[in-house]
Amino acid sequence: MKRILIYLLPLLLLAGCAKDFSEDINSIGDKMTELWTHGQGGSDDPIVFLQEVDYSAFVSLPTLYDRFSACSAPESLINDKTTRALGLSILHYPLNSLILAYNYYDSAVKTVYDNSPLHRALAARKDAAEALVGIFENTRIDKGAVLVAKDYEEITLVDELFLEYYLGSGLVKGLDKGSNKERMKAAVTKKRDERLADPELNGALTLIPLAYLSERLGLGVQFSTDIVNTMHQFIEDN
Amino acid sequence: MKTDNHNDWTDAFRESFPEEARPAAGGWEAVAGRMRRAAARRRAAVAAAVLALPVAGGVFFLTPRTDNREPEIAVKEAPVVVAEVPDIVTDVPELVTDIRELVADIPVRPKPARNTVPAEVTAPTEVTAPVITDRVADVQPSRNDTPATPGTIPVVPRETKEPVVTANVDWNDSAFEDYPDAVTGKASGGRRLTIGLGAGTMAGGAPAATTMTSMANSMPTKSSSNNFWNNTSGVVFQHNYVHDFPRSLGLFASYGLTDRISLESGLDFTRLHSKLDGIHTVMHFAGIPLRVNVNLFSAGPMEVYAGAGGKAEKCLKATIGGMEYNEPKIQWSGSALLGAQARITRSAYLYLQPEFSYYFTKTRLASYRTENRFGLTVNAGLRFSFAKN
Repeated sequence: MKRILIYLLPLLLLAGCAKDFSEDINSIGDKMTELWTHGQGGSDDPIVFLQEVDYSAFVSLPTLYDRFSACSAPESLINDKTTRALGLSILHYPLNSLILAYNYYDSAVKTVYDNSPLHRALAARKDAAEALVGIFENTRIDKGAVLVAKDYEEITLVDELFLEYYLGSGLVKGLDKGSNKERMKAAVTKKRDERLADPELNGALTLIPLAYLSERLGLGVQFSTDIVNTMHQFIEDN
Repeated sequence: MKTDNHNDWTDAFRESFPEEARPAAGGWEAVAGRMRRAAARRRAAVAAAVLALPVAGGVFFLTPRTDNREPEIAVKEAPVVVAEVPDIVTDVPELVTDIRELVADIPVRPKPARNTVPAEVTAPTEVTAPVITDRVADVQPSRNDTPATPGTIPVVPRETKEPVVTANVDWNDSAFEDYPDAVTGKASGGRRLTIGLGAGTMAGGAPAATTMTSMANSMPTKSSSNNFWNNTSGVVFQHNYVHDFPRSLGLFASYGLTDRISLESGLDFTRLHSKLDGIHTVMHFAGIPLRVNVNLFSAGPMEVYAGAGGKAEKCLKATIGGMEYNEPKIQWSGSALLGAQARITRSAYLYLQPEFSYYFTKTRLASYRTENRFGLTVNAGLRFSFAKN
């Protein structure tokens, strides 16, 4: 009898843990359902993600599959949003931080694009380039922002970097055409000058994505030789 | 990194959590305590590993050998003990028996054509005192002969020109010197093959909590705090991002090219692990190193050597957050090392090998290596030296 209990006890404990874990998952699932159903605003409002309402629940999800699932807004919700709302939504996309996990930033962007209906739907909109240029013109790095940005203009460094690499990835068509190109050039020049003037932002980390954007879109914005060489080395390395 | 804003960003980080997700009173202090304890454990483990080899070597070197076969036989080139031994042995016949038993137990190793001249002993068939020579061979055959009278040891007659058995006692110091250097694999008797089994890890401070240095020449430097990283100009990021030290396990073989130089290659496996906001990145590499080692000097059982070479590594499997990722490129690195080893048996060596390495290529996924392309690796393990005929 004792031996049976010795063998059974760990199994019972494991079963107890598994039950708790499944309850957690179910609890997050319930939250997601609630969020997608009732937690979103109107068509012009950006999508609200789980990370913004329950950060700890989001980071408790163990795999990227889980996290992409938690970020995957229903198709009906995406279709209901305007292009600008979708563009603003990607600023707060919880997995923008994946940009940190890759040395080859295009891989990070592609991973998100392949797994996010939001990013694919946005890139497929005909007016995506125009909407994204308008958003990009107004974003600034909030040096005090932490894990979640306060609004859609003062955003975290990670969100800004992801946006810049997303725009430079070639997934969104039309950024290098007509007035969009001129506006992008002006925005990149303005951001370059702001970052160069700010001792806390004047570094390769923040300047290389702008140089990358300039090169990929053919904007012709000038950067120092060091930045350009480092960028080219980074591209060649990958 | 700015240190004067430590409290600012600590507070900012804590305040970033939603109210309901914040730990209870004392929770932050508990987290800080756990981090301090983990860091202390890591430092203690590294210190223990660094100390292990010299301690082991010192113990081996300083402790007198207790093997009772060694000192009593006192194998030397000349049989000079003949005149002195009888007084002792004839008084203690039991000792002679003991010596015979010891001699019978001596393992012998054939070693032709070296000092094979038998002892110059004018030998009667039986003597009342043992004749101890440098040739165990001289006495070994008596094992299977008719048992000798206690207190006597038969000696090979002088007229025997060829050694009956060319065996040598080689556990004394002079014979030890004939054994090969496990680094160069070279012994006076011929080249040797050395097999090594080792493990290693990158050494340094705390595991890197940093990011995006891969494309930065002037930017993010490692933060001394685990969960924060910034760039040199002080922009604070607050993602929980930690790169663990790489861990390697390998099997190596070296071949002596000259008395001091050897060529080493093998196969090793390395695991890289990082964690970003709870997302685990794991990469497994198989690597083939090729390097040249040079024996610098030896002192007793201790040997010091240096080496340089390169390594090619292929990623066998990479995952990020459970999703597989393709790392197609071969990773090339160069290294220079300084090692020390201690002989622990006749053919086994314990080694400790600090190695400076530089990674020329980068993986697409960020890792400790890509954030620290120049690093110090500490390897330790065992080497076994084998004769190559």
